Amino acid sequence: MATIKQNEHKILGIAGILTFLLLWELVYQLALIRPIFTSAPSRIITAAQWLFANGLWYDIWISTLEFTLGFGSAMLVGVVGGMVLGWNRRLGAIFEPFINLFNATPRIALLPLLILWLGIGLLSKVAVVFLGALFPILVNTISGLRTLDPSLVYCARAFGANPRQILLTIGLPSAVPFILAGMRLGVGRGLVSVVVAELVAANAGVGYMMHIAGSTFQTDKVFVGLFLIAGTGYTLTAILSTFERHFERWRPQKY
Amino acid sequence: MSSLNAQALSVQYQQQRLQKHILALDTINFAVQSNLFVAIIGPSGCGKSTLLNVIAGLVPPTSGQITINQRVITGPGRDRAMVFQTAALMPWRTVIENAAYGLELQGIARADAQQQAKHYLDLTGLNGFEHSYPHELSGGMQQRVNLARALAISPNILLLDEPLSALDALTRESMQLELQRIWLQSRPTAILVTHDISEAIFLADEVWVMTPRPGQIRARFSIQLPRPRLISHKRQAYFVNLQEEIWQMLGIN
Ligand SMILES: Nc1ncnc2c1ncn2[C@@H]1O[C@H](COP(=O)(O)OP(=O)(O)OP(=O)(O)O)[C@@H](O)[C@H]1O
Ligand SMILES: [Mg+2]
Repeated sequence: MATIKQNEHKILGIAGILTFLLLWELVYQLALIRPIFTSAPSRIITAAQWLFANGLWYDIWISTLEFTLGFGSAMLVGVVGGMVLGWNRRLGAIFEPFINLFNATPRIALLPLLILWLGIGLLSKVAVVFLGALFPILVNTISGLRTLDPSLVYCARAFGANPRQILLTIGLPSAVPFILAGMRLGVGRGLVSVVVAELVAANAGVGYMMHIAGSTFQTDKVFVGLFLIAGTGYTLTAILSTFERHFERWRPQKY
Repeated sequence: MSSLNAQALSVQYQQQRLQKHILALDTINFAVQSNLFVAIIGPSGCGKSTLLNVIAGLVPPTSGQITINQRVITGPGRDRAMVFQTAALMPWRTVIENAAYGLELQGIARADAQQQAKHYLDLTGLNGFEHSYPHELSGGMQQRVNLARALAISPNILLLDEPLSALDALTRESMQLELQRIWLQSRPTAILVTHDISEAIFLADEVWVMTPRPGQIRARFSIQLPRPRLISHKRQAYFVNLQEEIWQMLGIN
């Protein structure tokens, strides 16, 4: 009984999704909708089976590579750069206008330029993911380092901490929640970037597959891509939430 | 061990937002020999925390100077430890990690630092709470972690800014006994700020009474009670008379 109660939230959520899929299948079986526009769960499964047997793995691999390379370098540059700019107020002041300007521009608007410079292959996608994910991480890391508890810094100095030790023992731990929130935003932006870039101009990837399928009215395949992307976004966010819980375990529980 | 001298020490704060100068300490002179326990009493805002911060090397004097063993203080140092008025614990560190912080900053390996810190957590009555987070402790317990963190680095000079003010009367008296016992073991030069006159007399060799801001030392009382002192000493005529005298000096009566 207790476990049912604890998992009530999850069970209701899953039941909701299952009901939706069943209804969808039902209206399709009763021929109430036209599958060429709306597809149906059974057709999507068939299409997925066919796609996985015919090169979908390669598209997934390409998209994963683009996302991982772009997001990984955004993490590295965002956290390290954010620490430098958040800690050194002069450098921060110099770079602030650039960052704000960039942050205010939708990075997708840079896509035509990136394709011009880097071609329609892997590199332009990595670049657009990088730019999409970088700014939330960078901006959050900077503000994390600028909102330190002054009494803690005071205490560290009283115990003889040098600036490097203050950064590592107070700056970094204080910034972790900010960095994780930035990463969560970054994951979303990165996924949007990779899909849109592949839809616009590419020669491989899940978005590319969807683009081809869509322009030839293969709706079932478009839905396969859609579910793949949704599943990826959901999984990545769930992983990050686990990280957040791990790093936030010291916080008082909310009641 | 360390002697402490102040020569014509003044501290002025600039409050930039209000374009105001505040003279917190006004040409203070004192000499504290090694291993002495001094307690400072004075009205709120008279500059007691400021004085401790100057000794800690966190606030530079506006004029004059303080020396430790004839050497002028220019910044914080490992010979000094401060128990802060607010606990100032890192919320993401457990109790033992907080208590070991000072040692960790000195480059002592984590395991050794925590073992040493554990000893002082036991002394301050926090046995069993090593792995709790600060928010899981009462205010008084947090204050004891703050105390253990300072004691753990075995300082030559121990600066205590109202360390027991968050405790209830009973716990407070038992902590006074603990503090005396710990102090007798290593006998650092100690400067204690407190608002509790009986606590000042009980713990200190000398009690200083400060004037309202700008802070000056109005009077010094030498406490002639043998150690270890007992709580029952607080009821002796000598103790009670001294308490009365200090009340008068504070101008509250
Ligand atoms: N950082 C600061 N900037 C400006 N003014 C300050 C600062 N710190 C303290 N002051 C001022 O200096 C005076 C002395 O402050 P201090 O904290 O030393 O008082 P205190 O004797 O410790 O008081 P309390 O008993 O309330 O803790 C106060 O009037 C306060 O307004
Ligand atoms: Mg104070």
